[in-house]
Amino acid sequence: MSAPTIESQQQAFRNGQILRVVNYHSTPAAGAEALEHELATYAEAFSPVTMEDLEALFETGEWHKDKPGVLPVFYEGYRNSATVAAPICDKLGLTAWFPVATRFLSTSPEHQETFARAHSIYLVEEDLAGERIAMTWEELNELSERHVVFPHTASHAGLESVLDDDDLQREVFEPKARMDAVTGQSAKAFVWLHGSGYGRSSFHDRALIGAGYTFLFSNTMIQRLPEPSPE
Amino acid sequence: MSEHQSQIDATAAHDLLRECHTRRLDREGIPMVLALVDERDAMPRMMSPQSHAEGAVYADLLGEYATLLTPTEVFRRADEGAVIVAMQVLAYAHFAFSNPRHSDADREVSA
Repeated sequence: MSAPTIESQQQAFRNGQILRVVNYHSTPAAGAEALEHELATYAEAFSPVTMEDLEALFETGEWHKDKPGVLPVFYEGYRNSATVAAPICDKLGLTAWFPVATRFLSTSPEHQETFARAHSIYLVEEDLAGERIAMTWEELNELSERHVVFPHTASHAGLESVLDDDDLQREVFEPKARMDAVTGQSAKAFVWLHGSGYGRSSFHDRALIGAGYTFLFSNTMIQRLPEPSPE
Repeated sequence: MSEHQSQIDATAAHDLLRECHTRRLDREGIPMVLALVDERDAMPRMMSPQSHAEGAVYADLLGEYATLLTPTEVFRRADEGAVIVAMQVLAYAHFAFSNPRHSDADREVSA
């Protein structure tokens, strides 16, 4: 796999290999009404997509729902993803997807603003008014029972800043291990900061496969990763 | 190939690009239309007729936006940033066929 081109994207589209995604970041309570209105328009036009639905598409090509699928994706692990976005998705019957920078959740509340500003996590005014900015691990566990949670690295890291084995351990392996320990599930997806795809760096690709991820979200694709090679 | 007549011109495409890059992202989501790619082997054939119909229209529209916004005389074929820009405009304008942002750029899709 090399970098995507217009032609490769067109070929996938012509084969029907398409999925709609809507990306969100902080979803403050002050904007809840507008968010609900926007998500309601998606819920009316599209069907929710679970991890099982995504796996079935890649294994069988089958889509069992009457409308095309849509994934509302709430990035970073904001507290308001759990307290604002998730309840709206619950109300509308949408399956939400939560890529979480795992160290954001593990950072004590008094240091979360600094963590966010140090790691390209965008803050709105309301984020600064509460007791904490990030969701808790308990909230993440609750979300995992009806939505999809998965790592967005530990530190909101881009592929270009992960340079050696220690970096890989911290940003690729540990987030999944920690998340899986909390949820009792296997986090199957991963996404880098800046949405880098599979096929740019064998060093990083091998780590994703070795850590046990199945899907990589990028700016242009959702990629089903290869299976680990037998030892 | 889908059958549609292009009604997008360069000015409209650039206006869409500017609009989708100046949104308040704390107030609305970022729509994306992503390709599904299997790095193990070829994907199984997608069974949904609607996904083929929509995909054909999206493929044509993506080609049009790429021609207007990221011509190959200026941008390398493998310039991922250029591919992303064309896809951003595609999704911004045509995410939901039933509710396009600009009716003159809409396409009819039937399963």
